Amino acid sequence: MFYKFENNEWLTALEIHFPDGTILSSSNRIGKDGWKWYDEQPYEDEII
Amino acid sequence: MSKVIDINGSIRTVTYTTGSPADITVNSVSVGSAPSGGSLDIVVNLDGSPSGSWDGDSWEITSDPFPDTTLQVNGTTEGTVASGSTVDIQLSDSGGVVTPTSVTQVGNDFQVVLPDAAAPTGWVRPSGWLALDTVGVGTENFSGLFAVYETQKNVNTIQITTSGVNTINWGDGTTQAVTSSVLYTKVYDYATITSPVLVDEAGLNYKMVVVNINMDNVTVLYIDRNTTATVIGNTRNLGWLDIAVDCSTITTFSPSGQGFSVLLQRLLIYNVGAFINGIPAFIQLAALKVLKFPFEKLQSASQTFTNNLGDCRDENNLPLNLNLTINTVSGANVLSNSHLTELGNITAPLRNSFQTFLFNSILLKKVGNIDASAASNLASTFSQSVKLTGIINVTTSATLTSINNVIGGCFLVDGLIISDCTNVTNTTNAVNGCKNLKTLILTGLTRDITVDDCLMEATEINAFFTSLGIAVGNRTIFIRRNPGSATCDTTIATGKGFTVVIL
Repeated sequence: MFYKFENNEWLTALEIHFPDGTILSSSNRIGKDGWKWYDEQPYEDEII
Repeated sequence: MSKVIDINGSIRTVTYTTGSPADITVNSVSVGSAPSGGSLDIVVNLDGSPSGSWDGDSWEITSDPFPDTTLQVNGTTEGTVASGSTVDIQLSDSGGVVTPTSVTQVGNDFQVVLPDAAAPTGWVRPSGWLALDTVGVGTENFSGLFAVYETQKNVNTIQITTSGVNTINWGDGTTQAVTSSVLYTKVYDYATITSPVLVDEAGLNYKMVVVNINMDNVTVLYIDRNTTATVIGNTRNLGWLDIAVDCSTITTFSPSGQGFSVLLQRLLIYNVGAFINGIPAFIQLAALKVLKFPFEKLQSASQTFTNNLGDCRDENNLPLNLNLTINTVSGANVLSNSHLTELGNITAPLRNSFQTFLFNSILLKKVGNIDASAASNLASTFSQSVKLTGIINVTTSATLTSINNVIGGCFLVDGLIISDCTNVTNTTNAVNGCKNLKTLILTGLTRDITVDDCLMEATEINAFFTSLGIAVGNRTIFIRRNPGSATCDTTIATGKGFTVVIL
């Protein structure tokens, strides 16, 4: 699951499709634009 | 059979027997016989013409299938069905399955006779109520039925601004000549009222008076003012049951703004002056069933009918159409917290805000089209109208900047179409909680929006993406937990510069 901490809440996603063609998914677990793959929901202090 | 032959000059006749004729059968059915050594031509036709071919062990005939059958209802083609299949036509109305009165077949036509629809049952004026005076366009008068209770303080107040000569007939045998802008108070004595005694829904006895006023040159009429007269105390008017008024000069009329006419069941306003203001003059009309109102002359409309407006319809028992053509002074909460179940079209092309217009109308099921072409704000316009269904169709312009919470909490709404969102900057919670939402068209939207947990299939999401404008800056669409989230065509949105988040 991709997570992003924004406005004091965790946002979650299975896929994120970007205008540049990048698609974050379970088969492409790269970080982008604050989104990062975690196997379990991270704590706030884990945010890089 | 015999044959004459010559054997060494001796003529002899020889008799012999030939083979028997052969019986010919087709599919075990005898069709004739052929002489030994002879033949029998059996003609095989399909629909009168020779047909088929020998496939080595049988004569094979293959026919073309009958074409599909076209189904029409009252002459309009509704579709086709495969030849030979069964057609099942379901008859229903909003109440469920309808059993036809009769079905008659004549050739290919089926006459299906449905039961007559029940006539709508509109409000019926209680038979025991006293009749009002005649009021209509041009009569320039007021006539109102007022309840006088056996066990309550029965106070009526009337204040008129006028340049004419006017008289209040209080309905108990007394009258009052009017001085402009003076608040007159009437305390009724139940014992002296001569009308029949009726019993209200709470089981309380009441009598009635009919109050009449000639409305010549009246510009302001208050029939809801509190009185603080020492002998009476701070008392609110509560007794109006039925009101009809016609006055071509009036611009302010307040039957329920300070005191609340919570018993009023019918309000008929035939004519007013060039405009009328409603800030707030018609609130808490919880019992109202019939409303005739010159919406086209409603100028200021802040909280006009807010707080518990009854489930009223027009005098023809049709949903109210709000034709607010001159309503430029906006204000909020025009119909918020109403008990309306159905509303017609809302046409307010000059109104600049629809903020909380129908907010929390928890019984509202249907609303017509909305012309909000001058509106900048649709914030919470329908929010929390939890029974609202159908597709909400709003005509807007580039003036619109906020759709914040526009249908938030409208759990049953099927769709939202806003014709121009090009300059919308606030979409917070626009469709939050709309778990039945299937259609969403926000034409020209360039900003972030969250469309999570709705009921949109991929084709409907694609149509939503198609309606979007070009993203302004880095913009994100959250389209999580919809049936079509995983299969929609995200390139429609990413191609316009949006990031699409799916779950």
